[in-house]
Amino acid sequence: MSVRSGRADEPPGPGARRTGSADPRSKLFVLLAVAAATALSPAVWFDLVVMGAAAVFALVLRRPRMGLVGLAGYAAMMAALQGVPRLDHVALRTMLGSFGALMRTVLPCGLVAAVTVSTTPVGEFMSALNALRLPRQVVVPLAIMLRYAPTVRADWASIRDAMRLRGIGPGPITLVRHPVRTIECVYVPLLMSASTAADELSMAAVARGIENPARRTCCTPIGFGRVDVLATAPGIVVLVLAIVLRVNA
Amino acid sequence: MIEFRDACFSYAHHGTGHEGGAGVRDITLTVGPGEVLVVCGRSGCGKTTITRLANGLAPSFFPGTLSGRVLLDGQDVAQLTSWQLAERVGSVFQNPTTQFFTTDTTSEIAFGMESAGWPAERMRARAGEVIDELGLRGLAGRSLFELSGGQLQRVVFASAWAMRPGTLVLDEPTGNLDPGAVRDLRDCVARAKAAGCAVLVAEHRLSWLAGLADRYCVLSGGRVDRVLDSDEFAELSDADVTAMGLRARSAGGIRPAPPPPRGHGGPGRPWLRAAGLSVRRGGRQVLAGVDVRLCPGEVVALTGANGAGKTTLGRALCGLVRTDAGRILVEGAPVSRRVLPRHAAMVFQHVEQQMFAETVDAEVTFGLARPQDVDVAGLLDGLDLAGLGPRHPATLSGGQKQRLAVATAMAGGKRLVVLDEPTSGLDRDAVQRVAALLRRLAADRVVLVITHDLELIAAACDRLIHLADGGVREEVDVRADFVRVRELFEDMSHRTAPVDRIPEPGVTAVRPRPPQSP
Repeated sequence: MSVRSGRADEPPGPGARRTGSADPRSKLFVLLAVAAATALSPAVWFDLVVMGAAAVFALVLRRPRMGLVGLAGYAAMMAALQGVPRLDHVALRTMLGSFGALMRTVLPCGLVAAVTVSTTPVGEFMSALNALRLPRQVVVPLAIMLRYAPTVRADWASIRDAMRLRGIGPGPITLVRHPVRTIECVYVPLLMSASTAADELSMAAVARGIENPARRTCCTPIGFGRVDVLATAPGIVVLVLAIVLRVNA
Repeated sequence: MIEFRDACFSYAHHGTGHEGGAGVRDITLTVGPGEVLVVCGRSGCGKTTITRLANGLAPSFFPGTLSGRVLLDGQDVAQLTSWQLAERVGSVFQNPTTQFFTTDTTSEIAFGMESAGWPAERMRARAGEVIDELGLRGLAGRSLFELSGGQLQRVVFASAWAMRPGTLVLDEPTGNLDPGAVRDLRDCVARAKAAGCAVLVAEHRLSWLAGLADRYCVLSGGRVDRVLDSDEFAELSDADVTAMGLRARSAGGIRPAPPPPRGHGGPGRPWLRAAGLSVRRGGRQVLAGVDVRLCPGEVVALTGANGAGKTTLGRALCGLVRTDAGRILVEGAPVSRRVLPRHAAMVFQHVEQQMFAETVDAEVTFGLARPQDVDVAGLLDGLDLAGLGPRHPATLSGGQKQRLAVATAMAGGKRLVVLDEPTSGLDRDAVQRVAALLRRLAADRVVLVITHDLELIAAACDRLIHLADGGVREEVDVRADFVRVRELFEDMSHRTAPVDRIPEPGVTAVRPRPPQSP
């Protein structure tokens, strides 16, 4: 709580401690800044800087493990890509090369998004979007999407069980032998259960007045504090750097 | 208070695969302040639709045509917006995991108030009051993802109750709950009733409502068949109740079915034995030294409170969980975890998570090495799925999907079939059909059914294995000692919940308010 010392209206209880992170608007800003920086990126070394900034963001929002896993995955991918130019197969070289270039830009954004989702309660997120004066038609579906994310993990666990019992994977060997079937097996039931869950969630949301046009309040009030300066710093740095490099080039 | 005056409703979309419910006609009913009205009847009788008319979801969320009037405290529902309704009617639905939005209990309870734009101070004060009133102090501020289904359902109830609505609408609120959680929810409803709230409950499970409900409305084919007060309902003969398609009115009225004709001479030698099974997950000992034996020819019920390890044991016997100790023997020989899934099948509570193919026909043989060896048509015919072969599994009803999952198990030649809560949200006839299916499966297979449903146990099971704290607490012969089975259920519902009990209505609990600011 000391991080948010600038705020007088701190809510009580462990609920507040869980949330103890930056304002959702700051996180959305960093997400946009990182996306813009990777789009403007002049060189591979700059992509590394952006990934580093994303990891710092994870650290500031107390998700060090996410940051480390992201960095490790990124490093492993970069190491593997070193071998690509030496491949003899032209088509494979092109494919893996462009895949690598795509992942270099997607991973930093993915890390920032994952940290944002895991640290932002739906109520805070909605208050933030309302404060940005976004229309209800945008806010409500986004909120339900954010809420749906954690249920995917539970669904996946059941689907994996079902696949094992039907003798269809989901291990790497089956994936190589029947790639299309294995992927279908994951997304067909996932979509089916997602559509049921989304219907039920929306219904419950409407029954609790989510469509109310009144200015939404929040029991853990949002607002900017010292942590927001720390959280947005990586975003500001990479964005400014990217623009400066582009202008000079 | 809610009044229906000649209300008719028909849905705009039919047969979309969603269990949208049936329309209703000529509904005239009143639920007064402090009254609990139970709407019951067979599946598809329109129970759910009545709850949707009361909370305005039909027609605002479920499009359709409404005629007649539905009045909330004298005001026409049709003239109220969804958010005005949300402040007057609290709604609780069946599945606790898809009706919460936030990550911790306190902000969940505040969710409705946030939507209505209450100032933070007032909201926190009210959340604190509701937490004390419903005995949720032990859950305050906890992460919702750590809570059991029963605890979640109480938080959902608290969230609806926080707005102090004059009317509460509950649509099969106990469908996914264990007996202890049902009792906790009952206490919450009793509290609302004592506070003068009008309560409308649509339910298949009726026993928890005895002594709480004031009137029962029996629906049939979308119309009100009869409305009975609680005394008249209690005086109905069992035959009447059965004829109306209703489930048991109280646990005391449930009797075990006569033993099935012993064509095969009863249970044979154990096919599967588990000895000293232990499972640790996330630093918690879920199962500790479990011994189980299962024989072909018998249906075994696996019971226990939520968190007792039932599902983990079921999954372990199918080879889906890494065990830390113990072994599993099939026909006397130890079998590795890799091989077990070949012998086993599970029927999930959410069956749609195990449907992979694009047609029912393809689903039956999906993943099999030699699909041509399976008599698909014969199998579907025997499971009352004839003619559905070309349909997409997603378009089937819940019961049909469940039988399709059973068909895949049979086609795969599985010897062990584990079913997880196969009767949640089913009416009496459907429970009897599931029971008959279990008996048939057991003829040459080993059947284990994880359940909280005393009626299913009475109708289908031979033996009961009761788990508590990760171990087998007791085994009971269902037919010989049904009294003991009933006692176990009674104990489960009296088990003190891991949070403080709700104070008696009328007794004001004096508890410190949460600090308003640090």
